[in-house]
Amino acid sequence: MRLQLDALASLLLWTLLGFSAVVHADSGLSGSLQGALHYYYEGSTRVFMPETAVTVQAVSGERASASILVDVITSASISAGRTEDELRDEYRFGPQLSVGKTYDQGNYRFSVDGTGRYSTEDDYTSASAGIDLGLYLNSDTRILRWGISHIRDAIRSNADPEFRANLRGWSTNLSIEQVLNPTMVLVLGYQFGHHSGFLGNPYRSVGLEGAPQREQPPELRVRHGISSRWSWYVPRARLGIHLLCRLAADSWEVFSTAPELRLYKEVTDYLLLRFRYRYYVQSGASFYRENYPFAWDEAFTADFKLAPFSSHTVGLRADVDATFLEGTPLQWAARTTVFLSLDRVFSGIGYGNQIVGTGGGIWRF
Amino acid sequence: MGIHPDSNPPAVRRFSALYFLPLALLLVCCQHVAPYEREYLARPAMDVRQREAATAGFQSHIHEAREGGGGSGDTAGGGCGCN
Repeated sequence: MRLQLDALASLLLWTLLGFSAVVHADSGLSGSLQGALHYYYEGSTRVFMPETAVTVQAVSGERASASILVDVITSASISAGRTEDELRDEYRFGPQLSVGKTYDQGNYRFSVDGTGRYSTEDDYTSASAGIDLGLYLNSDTRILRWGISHIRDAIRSNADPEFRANLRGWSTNLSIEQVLNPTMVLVLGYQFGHHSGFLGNPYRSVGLEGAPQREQPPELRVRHGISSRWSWYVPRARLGIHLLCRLAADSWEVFSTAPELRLYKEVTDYLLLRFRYRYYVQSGASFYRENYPFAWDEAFTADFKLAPFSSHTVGLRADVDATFLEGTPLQWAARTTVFLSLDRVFSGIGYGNQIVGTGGGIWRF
Repeated sequence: MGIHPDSNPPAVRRFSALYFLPLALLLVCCQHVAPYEREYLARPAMDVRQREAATAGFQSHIHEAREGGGGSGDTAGGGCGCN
């Protein structure tokens, strides 16, 4: 089954790419091909995630994109409820397909995009679908976006063949992007999520009344979030200053905020460096306890991320645009960008500190 | 002795004030900008959306898996969100 899905997704991806490569010279098609390898490390989990994506768009406004990711997760033991690290591998497979079109009405434009995604491991399947609308006003200096999506998960447990559970969810988001002046842009957004069903981890257990029991958080979670991104370009320094903030609250009484500073320095015409610092702090869920009383008849969890904690993230990223290859025998690669990103997360969470890295490239055609 | 999840830690409330700053900017700084005046907004240091698309989804997945308030909840993971 997995091989069939792999083959189907690969066929889709390469058909799309092949189609664009054959016809783009005549029809005005353009697009990009991306490849990336993501890496995640913490004390109990290592994840390697190769991902590839292709995007094609026509001058008449139609566009399509497809992506595939394959997680190779090694030793996910502590987050799966065990107390000692144990080497084991699991695989996640996830294709995604999007299609859309932008309509030009003269004094304004609007866009419609639809996205479908499928993700599976040996103990769950997840499918989601969504629609995104965009309205471009005032010569694109003001952009309104609205999106809605639905997700359905089927959850199983390799440790308990009898376990079957479902998760259903809706989410929507609304944002406005406004050009403030020739060097500043501001984006404000609101996100809402409504999820019901089994919202825990079937492998995590809590000791209650002398016996370990599978964690059982509330079966409904309603989430609200507001976000902002203010970007300012300093021409003399060739520096982009981006300040991002996110504030979130939910029905489990987890309140969080995450201010972040990103500095983008154009070192040369070919080299862009990014520095980021992010601070994250949250309160704990109302039902979270390090140790539950012997008799506890409310929801319970062993998930560290529902405890109160804070974290600091510092990161560096380098992008190299290969435009310096113009006029050389390697001119075909001149529209390529290669990048490397590395973040270090210093976290008070029980899972420990983290290293997050991504390397990859984008080829535009 | 368990952790008592006493509502918001002070830092949450303190940083909440940051959200009024962008709104004030929107009200005060907004002006009409013609297309030929947007050269700086198209610079690599400003137009980063496509450049960072490949890492944005991965970051979102990590935030969902490791932070209680980290996302919309739509990240695939069978509800476990363990990695």
